[in-house]
Amino acid sequence: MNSLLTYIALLPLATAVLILLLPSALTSISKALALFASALVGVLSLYLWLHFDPQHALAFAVKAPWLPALGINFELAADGLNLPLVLLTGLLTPLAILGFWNHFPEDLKAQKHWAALLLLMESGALGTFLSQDLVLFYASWELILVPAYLLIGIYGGEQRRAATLQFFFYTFAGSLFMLVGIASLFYLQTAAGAEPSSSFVALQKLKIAFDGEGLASLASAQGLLFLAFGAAFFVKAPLLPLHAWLPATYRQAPGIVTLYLAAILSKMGTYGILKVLIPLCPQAVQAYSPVLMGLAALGIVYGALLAIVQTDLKSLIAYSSLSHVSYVLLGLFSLTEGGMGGALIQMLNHGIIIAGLFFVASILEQRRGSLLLKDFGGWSQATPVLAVCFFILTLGAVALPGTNGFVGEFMILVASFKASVGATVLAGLGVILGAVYMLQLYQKTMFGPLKEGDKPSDASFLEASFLTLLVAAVIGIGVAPQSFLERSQEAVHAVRSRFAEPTSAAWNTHSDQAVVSKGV
Amino acid sequence: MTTSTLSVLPLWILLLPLFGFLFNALAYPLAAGGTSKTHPGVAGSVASLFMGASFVLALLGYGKILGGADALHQPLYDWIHFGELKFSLALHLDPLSSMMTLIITGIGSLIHIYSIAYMSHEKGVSRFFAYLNLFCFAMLFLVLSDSLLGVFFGWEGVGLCSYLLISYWYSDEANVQAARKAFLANRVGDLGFVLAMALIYTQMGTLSFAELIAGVSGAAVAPWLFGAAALLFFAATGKSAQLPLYVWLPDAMAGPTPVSALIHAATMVTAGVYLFVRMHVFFELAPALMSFVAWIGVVTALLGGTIALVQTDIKKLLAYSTVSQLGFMFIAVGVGAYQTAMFHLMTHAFFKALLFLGAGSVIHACDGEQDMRKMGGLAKALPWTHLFMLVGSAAIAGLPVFSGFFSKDEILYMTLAQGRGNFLLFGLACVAAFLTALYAIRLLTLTFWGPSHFKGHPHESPLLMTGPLFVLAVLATFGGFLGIPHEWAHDAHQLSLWLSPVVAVTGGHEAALSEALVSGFAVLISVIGLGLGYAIFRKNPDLKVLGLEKLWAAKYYLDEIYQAVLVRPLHALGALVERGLEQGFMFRLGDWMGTGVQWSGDRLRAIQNGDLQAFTLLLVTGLVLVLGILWTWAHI
Repeated sequence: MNSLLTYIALLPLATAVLILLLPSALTSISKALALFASALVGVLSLYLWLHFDPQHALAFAVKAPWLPALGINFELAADGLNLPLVLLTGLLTPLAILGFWNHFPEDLKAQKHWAALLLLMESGALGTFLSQDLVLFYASWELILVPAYLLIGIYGGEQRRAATLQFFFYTFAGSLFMLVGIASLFYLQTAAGAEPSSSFVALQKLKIAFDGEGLASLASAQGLLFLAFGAAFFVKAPLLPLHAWLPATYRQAPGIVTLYLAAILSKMGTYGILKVLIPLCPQAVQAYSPVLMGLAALGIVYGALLAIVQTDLKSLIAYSSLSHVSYVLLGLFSLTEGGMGGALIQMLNHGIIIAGLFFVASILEQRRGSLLLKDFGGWSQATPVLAVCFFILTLGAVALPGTNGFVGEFMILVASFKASVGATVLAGLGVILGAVYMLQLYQKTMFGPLKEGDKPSDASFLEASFLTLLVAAVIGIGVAPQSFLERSQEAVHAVRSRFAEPTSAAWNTHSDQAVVSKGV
Repeated sequence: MTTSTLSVLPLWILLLPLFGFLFNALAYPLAAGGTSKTHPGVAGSVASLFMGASFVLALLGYGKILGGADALHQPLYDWIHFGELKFSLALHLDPLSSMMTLIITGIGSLIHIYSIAYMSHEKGVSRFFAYLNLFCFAMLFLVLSDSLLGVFFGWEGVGLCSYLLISYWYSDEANVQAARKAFLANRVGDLGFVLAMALIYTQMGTLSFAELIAGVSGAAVAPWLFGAAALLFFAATGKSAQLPLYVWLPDAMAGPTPVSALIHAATMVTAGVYLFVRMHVFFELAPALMSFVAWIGVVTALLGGTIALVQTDIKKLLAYSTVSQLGFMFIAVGVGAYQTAMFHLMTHAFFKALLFLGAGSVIHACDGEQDMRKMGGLAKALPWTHLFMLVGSAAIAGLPVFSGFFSKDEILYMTLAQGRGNFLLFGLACVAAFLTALYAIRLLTLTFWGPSHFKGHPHESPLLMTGPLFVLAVLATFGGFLGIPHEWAHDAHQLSLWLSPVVAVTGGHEAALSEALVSGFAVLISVIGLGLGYAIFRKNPDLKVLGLEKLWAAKYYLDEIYQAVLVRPLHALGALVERGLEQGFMFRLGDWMGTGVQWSGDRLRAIQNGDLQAFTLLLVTGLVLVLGILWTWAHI
């Protein structure tokens, strides 16, 4: 199955084109077509996950020349880092379409747009995760921006204009920096007299200078590269204080898009840190690790504090997402093996939990026509299935042992304690604050008396199926996370080994570095 | 933990309640077509059967250890194995956990049976029994685990069930608030637990009890040990309702009464005590902390005892009494008398479960009334309940022969006999014991004796309720004989003998006073307390002590203090960050950047207003074209 990954990455894209070309008589099948294609990708990604051999560094590799003059290839491969995220994207997309089946707009043309744009996003995400070539990575990364922008800008909530503007500027600005970073990598290769190549394997062989004390080190080649790639990844994740686009975007986007943004697209940022930033700029990341850990820990508390004072469901969940993604960042920047492993599984787990929470918010909004917490109460008695699923998702979000949320959080806290006691203790406050806002969210909607005249209907069969699968994952991974972890062990170990290499000064001459600095 | 026998027995003790949970949570409601259609008799009987079977297995395990096995061990699986992080789960049944499993499954079974009748008027009761079974599963996991991590799994699991059961009647806002308070107070403690695990793992690379204890044996006192011990103690103050985190326990009485008996008296709240006993070798390396623990214990005992004196709600009185009795256990732990702490844990489980279930019987008889001022004179209508409550009160007050007499006397004695104890600690503990007698007699006087204030027709509870009460009354009466002082008989203290493989017997011979003298003194205190209390409360239910009663009724204003220094500042800070940082600065950052590139937004909007389909198609076609051109170019 050498072309397995090509199918996984391009099937959604091809189907999206097909859907857009559908004659108007067939518009009604666009939704079904999207479901079919994404389900196929889901099955393939499950196959990939099951047959993945962790000892095999780059599995199911596909490589075709694209721009040989610059050493750019269409190169995909599965490794321990992208495997959980490919599985997440592959399975979550069809399931979300199924769960949201009756939440799609009634208008057939709008349905068509949704179906096509969602598939475009899926292709972009899968391409980003599977790429073993930086330029392909970048192209896939950018592919996301347009469908996300259109979906929010056209089908979003009342204040969608402001939201799309924020979203576009932040992410686009970040991407531009990354583009500059990629260009300068080519320049660095030429300067070092190497053949140009954008393959990750080749790029990792490149010695990039890192010297200078404190802030001055940011001006070295590696420091500048760190800034360029960091800008893109830190915005996407997001890392405090680059999160300003998030609350409005998550709040205004249509339900399924919010789900996609929070569950999958935010992982592109954290994945980029693990796959690109740390291997390319190991010394820089190591040097800035205390600051980055501090920002991540601050992000946990900051997001949680804001979640506590939110008055509507989606904003509350949006800030909770900021808080939880910050755990991932804390684990990554701890630069310990356990911390990075914890971060990786936390990416998967956060994807599952946040998808469930935003889905629940969509159901609540659809039934009640409001997102304000004060309009809810007492649903537990009317909607038992929804209440139980929501509760287990809540437990996952507060990281109760036995749920998947605990696995990542625990690994991250224990591992990062070694790297920074201060940041870990600060992050630990999230353990308490997380319970404050999640219980608030749950109790204000599900407990207490029902509001007068409120007769909510329980989750439909499709909605319940989606929720049940998410809940099963929450408990399943929580009880037995090892089958996920063992697949990533080798790959994380390899990333970690980047730090064992000799330090900057010996790598590159100072004259080279001066040229590079100017070039960037 | 020397030689242990491989055995699946601990696993089955654990799994049976889980099966009961699955039956009542999934199988039965699915078969019946919804939780609301489930029958209390069926749900309760099945749940009780699973608990009973688990109790039988716990007895078997006890027998095996009695028969010579040091411990029964059952590895479960590698939970996480990643890089430097290695965490495995395993079950370990040794004398200490055997004692705990017997208490949990034994008293648990009785309370399950009692609940069948107590909850028979409720709708959809399978949910209740599911939670109750799940609680027992989690509690058993807590005491059977061989590592700190496993304990934490159970620790959080019991907290969850406690939350679910306090908010069992979730339509009432007050219950929900009480449940939330319990969860959050415990969470504050849990942070201590998590950080303690992180610290210990960083230092020792393991969380397994056997390895930890082997690792620190003979180790010197180190600052990090003190830190880890202090963090664990902080966690224990949450779960075991000690200062400063005890405030949730009285509110937890919002749950159904059997829950108060099982979770908030007999089992869950003793988890902190259990943890200390389990890891006492470790804690002994932080002697300064242990003295502090004893002081926290005695202050909590006094606090709980005084507040109990002015409660009007029968369950709240018992709740503060529990806080106070847990304080006694921590006194014992603090001075290093671990077997004594376990002894009091056990007798308290007997008599406090009895008192709570008795109170439940009273509430049941009075159609849900919990205010003691509206009761009175119930002895005639409820002869059996009255008798059982007399036994429970005698036990808690520490009258000779009854179980509490032995265990409490031993604690008082240990405050003198152990190295870390002293006369001040002893004196304060005696005051707390005096308070115990006072509130015990207050409960009896207000509820059963004196003039009747109840307007309805109270009726004695059915056999399903009085039966378990009878068994508990027997245990509360004779349970103390497991711990007859060494001084009085050769080979007497069967409990400490039983625990000796885990907890070496300490102290007891160099005391300033003999144990007999301490006992005599303690009985004197009890009798004076009971007599004085009867004289006071017979005439007037309200106590007046120099105006202190206002402070007690206000619960020392601790709730208000927490509101003022924690809850409100937290929300204020959140609001400040929201308005100041987020809306005032962060969001505008984007706008400022935005205005700079406004024109591009305008262009894009223009396209938006047009035909989206055309635009998207254009985009994709463009993309495909570019890719295609590049591809061809590359291949020429």
